[in-house]
Formats: sequence, structure tokens, C-alpha cells
Amino acid sequence: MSNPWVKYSVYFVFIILLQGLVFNQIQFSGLVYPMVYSIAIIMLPVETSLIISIIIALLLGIGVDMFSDTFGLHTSSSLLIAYIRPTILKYLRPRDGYDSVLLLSIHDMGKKWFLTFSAIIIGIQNLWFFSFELLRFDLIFTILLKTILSTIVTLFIIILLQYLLYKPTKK
Amino acid sequence: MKNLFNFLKRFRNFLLFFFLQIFILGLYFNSKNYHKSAFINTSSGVSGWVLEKRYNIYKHFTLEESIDSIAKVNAKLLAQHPKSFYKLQDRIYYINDSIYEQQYEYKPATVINSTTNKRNNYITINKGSILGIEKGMGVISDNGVVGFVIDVSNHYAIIKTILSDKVNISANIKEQKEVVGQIKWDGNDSEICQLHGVTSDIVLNGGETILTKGTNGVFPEGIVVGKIKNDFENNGSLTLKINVNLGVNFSQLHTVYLIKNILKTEQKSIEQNYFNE
Repeated sequence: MSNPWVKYSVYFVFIILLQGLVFNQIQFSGLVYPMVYSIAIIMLPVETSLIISIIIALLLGIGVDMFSDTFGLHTSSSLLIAYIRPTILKYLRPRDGYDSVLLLSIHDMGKKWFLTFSAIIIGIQNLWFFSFELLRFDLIFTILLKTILSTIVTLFIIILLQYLLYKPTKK
Repeated sequence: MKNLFNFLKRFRNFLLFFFLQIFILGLYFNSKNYHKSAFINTSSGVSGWVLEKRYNIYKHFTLEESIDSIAKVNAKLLAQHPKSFYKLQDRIYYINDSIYEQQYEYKPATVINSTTNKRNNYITINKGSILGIEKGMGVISDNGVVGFVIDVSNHYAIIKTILSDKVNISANIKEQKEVVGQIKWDGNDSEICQLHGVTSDIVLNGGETILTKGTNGVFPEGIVVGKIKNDFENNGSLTLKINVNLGVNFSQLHTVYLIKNILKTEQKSIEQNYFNE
């Protein structure tokens, strides 16, 4: 398990199964649909090149699509967040840059930074997903309501997972 | 030429993203078309296998309800058996062999994955083309209409439920057979569908049963869809806005029955000369 890519692949399969078998079954009121798998894109190392993160997003999306009968909608939204992630990272850059030892987790980057970053990414992903799922102009309030509620629930679950799975990196 | 290469090098990330996005969205929009099958879905081998493993654990939590529903169907069928009728006239014998010809066959299958919270909702079942499941077969449960098969792999099949965009099922009202409409779903509530096309001169009380009309050969005639809710309004337009309480609870489906219409090819072959011009 010393190779970080082996570790990441195991984690990758785990997150697809988690989304496919657990979070796809959460169906209360039809407005909330947590897309927790986006944590795998959020927490990619800062220096990952854009092409590699697009390829990871493609595989991740196809994996999730295979479990949820959305025919490519998850792939499309995860491609989008993988593509805009470097831009958002650039805007949210701390004063003295990113430390390559640290993970992009809530412990290493601080609560405020992590919340802002993941809220932006998940918000964009949900908006894209629900717009293409409903695709009707007269349902624009439903789209926004679904986006906001699902973003809040997804953020909550992602922060729980952060405290369950990660420890602060020792410098 | 050098400029072109420079341009491609500079924008290669964007171009990669752009073409992948176009390709994936193309797949997504094609999948809305009923006749085109998509390749990323739960009927594919790996995810079907995993979902079935999950179902094997999950089924133990719902055994009681599935036994109940099967017992209910058994009781209903037992009541129709000749043994349970009292003979009023002893001398009359019916020979049914040459009057009836079988038109519909039913195959049971188990639901291993389902959704109810999307705009288009699908169900995965654990039977596929090896066991004779075909595209276009109608699907019912013991409480009413469920949907129809849109994609089949060797061991699994995907059903598009009536909780979807662009699904029209022609139906009529049990108490007033001449009233015909179309069942559609507006995407809001997974327990309520809409009946369109009923003109406003029809008098309804609420509580009437909606049955399938069975014209296009997917469903037999007289399968229950649901009951009319009594909150319809007549706001001066030509047709009534009717909500229908669905008979099927889509979040608790266990066993479904697939309908094979033996005479469908015959119906289609005689219709095709006149209907599709």
C-alpha cells in the first residue's frame, strides 16, 4: 500500500460502490439526491495534471452511471467539475501557495477553506446534473430547489466522511 | 501549420474536455429515445452482478411483505378456480379447447434495483435474454401496471417505468368504459400520475378505477393503473385535469410479471401497411 496510486485505486472502487449501493438508495421526497462520489475529484492532489483528472473523472462517472441508469449524466457532470477544478483552486489559493505534502482535506486545509471549495464544486455539479435531467425552462425553481437541498446534504455527508476516514497529515 | 500545432497544444485540455462532453451528452440524449439502447446502464455484466449480490442481502429484510403479496395473489386465483364455484346446473358441460387461444404469457422476475426520485425512473430485474425476455415486453406487478422493457443483456433487463417522461399508456375508466385517456407523469410525486384527454362533459365522482385499454398489444386489456383522486378541477378548458393514485408502490416492488404477447407480431404485420406511412 505504499504506492499512492494503488491506494487511490482501492479508494476509487470503494467510492463507486459506496455511491452505487448506499447513496443511490437515499430517496426521500424526490428532492435530495446526494452525489457523494465527487469527493474523489475534490481530493485529488493539487499538482495532478488536467488530463489525468479528466480521465479519472471519466472512469468515475462511467462507474457511477453503470449503477444508477442515468446513461452518462454523472459522467458529464464529473467531467465538468474535473475541468473547472484547477481554476477554482487558483482563485482560492492560500497566501503562501499549496503545500504538496498536505492533502486537500478538512484537517489540513482548515474548515473554512474546505467548505468553500467543496460547496462551489458540488453546487456546480448538482446544477449541471439537475438542469440536464429535467431540461425544462418552466421547472427552473424545481431545479434550483433540488440543487440547493442536494448540495447541503452532500456537503454534510462529505464532511462526516472526512472525520471518519482521514487524520491530519503530520509534517 | 506550426501555428495550428501551437494552437492544438495550447487548447488540448479544453478540446479533450469538449469532445468527451459532447460524446457523453450525445449518449445521454440518445438514451431518451426509446428505440436506441445505451451502453452504460445497470444491465451490463459487472454492475448487474454487484447489484444482485446486494439484493441477495437486502431481500431478507423484506421477506414478509413479498410473502404477503404472493399469498394475496394466491387467494385471488384460488377464488377463480372451478373448485370454488358451486354448480347450479349439473348437466351442462363446457369444452373450452377451441374457443380460447392463449394470447398472453407471464414470466415472473425479481427487482434488484430501482429508483423513484428522478425524472425518468428505471428498474433492473434479474432475468435476461437467456430466459426469453425481449425488448418492448410489458411489465406489471400484482397491483397494476409498472412499465416496459427497454434494454436486455444476457442475465438482466432494464424496465422504463410509467414514472417517466414521454410514456403514454392508453387507458379507460372501469365504470364508464367509453371514456378513454392517456396516462402520463408530470415528474412531481411518485405516487400520482395524470390522466389526459378526458373531455369536461364527463361526470366523475372520484374513486373510479383506471384500467389499461390494451390497444397496442403491450398490456392486456383491463390491467389496473390506479384510482382517480377526487381533486380534479374544471377551469373552463376542453379537457379535465385528473390525478390518479397509482396502484403500484414503486419504492417497494419485489416481484414483477413480464408479459409476452404471442400474437403481437401478427398484429404488427397486419398494421404496418396502414399505420406507418
